[in-house]
Amino acid sequence: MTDDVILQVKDLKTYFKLDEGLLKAVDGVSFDLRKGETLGIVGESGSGKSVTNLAVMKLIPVPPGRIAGGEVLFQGKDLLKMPDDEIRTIRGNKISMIFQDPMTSLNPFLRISTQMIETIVLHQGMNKKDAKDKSIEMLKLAGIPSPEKRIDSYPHQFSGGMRQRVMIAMALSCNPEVLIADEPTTALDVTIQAQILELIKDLTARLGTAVILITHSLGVVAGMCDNINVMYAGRIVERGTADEIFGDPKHPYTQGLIKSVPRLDKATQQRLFSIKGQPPNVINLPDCCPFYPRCDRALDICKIKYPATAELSKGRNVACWLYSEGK
Amino acid sequence: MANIDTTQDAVNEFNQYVKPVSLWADAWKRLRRNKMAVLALWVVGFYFLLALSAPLLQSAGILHSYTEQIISHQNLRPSFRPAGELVIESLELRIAQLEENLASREEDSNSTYNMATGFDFAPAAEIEFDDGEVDEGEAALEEVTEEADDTYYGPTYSDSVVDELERSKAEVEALRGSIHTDPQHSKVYILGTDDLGRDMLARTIYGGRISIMIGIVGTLTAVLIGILIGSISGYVGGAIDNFLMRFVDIMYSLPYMLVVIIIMSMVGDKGRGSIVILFVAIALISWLTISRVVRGQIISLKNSEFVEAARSMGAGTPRIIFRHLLPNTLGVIIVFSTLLMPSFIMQESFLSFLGLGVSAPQASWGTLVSEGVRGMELRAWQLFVPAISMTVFLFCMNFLGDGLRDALDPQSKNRG
Repeated sequence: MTDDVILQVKDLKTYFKLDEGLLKAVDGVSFDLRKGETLGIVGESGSGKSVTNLAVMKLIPVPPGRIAGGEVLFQGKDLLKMPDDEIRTIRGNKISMIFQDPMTSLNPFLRISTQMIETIVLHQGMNKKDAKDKSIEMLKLAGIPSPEKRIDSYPHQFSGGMRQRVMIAMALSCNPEVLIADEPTTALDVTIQAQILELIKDLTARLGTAVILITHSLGVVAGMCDNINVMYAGRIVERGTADEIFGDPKHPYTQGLIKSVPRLDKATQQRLFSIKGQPPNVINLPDCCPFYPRCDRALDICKIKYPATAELSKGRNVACWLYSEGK
Repeated sequence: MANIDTTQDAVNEFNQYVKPVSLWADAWKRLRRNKMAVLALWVVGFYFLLALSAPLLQSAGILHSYTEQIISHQNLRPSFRPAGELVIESLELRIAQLEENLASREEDSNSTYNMATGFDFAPAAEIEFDDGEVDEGEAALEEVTEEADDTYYGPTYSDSVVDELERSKAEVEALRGSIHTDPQHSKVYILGTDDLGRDMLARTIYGGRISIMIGIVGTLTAVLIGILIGSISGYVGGAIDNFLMRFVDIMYSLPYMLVVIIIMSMVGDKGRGSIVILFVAIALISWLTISRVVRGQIISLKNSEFVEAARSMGAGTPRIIFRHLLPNTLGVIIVFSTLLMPSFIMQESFLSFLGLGVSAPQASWGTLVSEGVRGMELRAWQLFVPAISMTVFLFCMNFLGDGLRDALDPQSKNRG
């Protein structure tokens, strides 16, 4: 591994203890994030994408949740072992997040200025006036017209797209090393989605911020990301560059996902492909490949044992018996 | 729906200036539309102003002292005329009555039905049940029983009546002489006086001061303790939540009035009647409900995304509770407080009525009412003045609380 890896997640496990049993939301996820890289994490709902990133920030609600193992190395230090005070100086400062729903992610009772200035004063030690100037500058970068007038508004006076811009401005206001965007466009309509994605891409490129983009939209990752992790049932089943994943998907699940995207360039009369069945309930899952009941190419061994991750080339991994040795 | 709301204008991506409208400004706008709530707000404001400025008014001479007792001004009825005139009037009425009495007695000395004349009360007149009066009644009885013995005239009867007549006449003369020189007699008691000659208006205003103060202090302590316990319990959860809420359960299960009465009697004579003890007793138990309310609110808010967002920005627990969560519950707390305040005033009145509240010469609406009840048939104003003052205030507080609830409830935004 090269030195420009800033965030390294190693074998992260996050379990939730429920009445029904142990829910292994994230079960042994590992990935590296390099400086300036945009990493996509793709998967169906409930595949553990969001929990992975909450765990990285140590934001899992502790009962019922539990980080059962693994390391999150940020600039050489393990975030999971940090005391709370120390990790608070990293949250929002070095690593910040954008949430899915901008309508609910801003405190409805506080002015935009209050919420932005609070963060900047907390982390950068600026006085309020400088912090306000900085906030206005960030809002301007995020494409809010006449930010010096809008900054004292309340969240309800902004539209969804504007709020997401505010969230982005807020998240980037401390020049973080890593920006975690958790489905940043899901709650927005399509015309705004493209603008917001363009904004994230543009701003992070300018500020040199690495991005983890969590989404279930393949179109979004295709346009945005350098590398892609595909998650299924709490594990990464395939990883590679965007070109590799889209050009030559290996895992049957990835193949299924890509086939189920409607395409404009191939006029067919066929029904749109869909992966049959439902994603599994990850409570008390046996040690098999969780995808085998839905898999067209399932082998006998798939029902017995989870496949080891096979490295096809550098940075190109698949966890499937089809590619593992000794099948 | 043309006149609603500026928030519509806010949703535009053009370079237009939009005036920030806070939730509070919005709520205020809605409150102003509610006529009853506005009226209640004015009345409550007037009460507060009066209560606050009472010492000023008194030192400026507009308001009489609430402790000064003028024995000759006992039980004067509400009137705009000076006290001296009222006293003379009532004495003259009494004299006329006595004279008539005496005359009729001499006239019908042999009649069988002469008993009632001594008890002929003029409705507006002041009749004091002093010794002379009792003697007179007894004498009358005596006379009836001894009617058979036609020749006997009880000497006590005429003597006492004549005595009183003389005394009253002398008093009237003395008053006539001093009415223009003695400033006491030029006092005007708009709302009458009580049985110790104290001004009812001043006593009601000062009573209101104490009652309102108990309401405010009780509400404040209840809200402060309630917010603290409720927010910690709600946000932290787990074992702490369990412990605190079971404690609240135990406190709930104690009969409230009984506990207060026990506390009030436990502190003994030293603390009895002190307002501080009353505050403590009321505040001790009053925070239970509000802590439950706050806890519920916090629990429903703590998983909302803006809290998660604040945490992802590096905010600590106290900051999240006090900066992000509590402002969101403030609406509920304000509404609850406005409804809590009347209940404290009621409780204080109840305790004072039972003789466990504030003690003389201090007064609260509760003690005034309980004093007024004693002479209710004869001196109704002593009951009605504090009772009506209190009722109007409580009524207005409830209306205000109702109005605030509607105004702060986002669901009612587009109604009305």
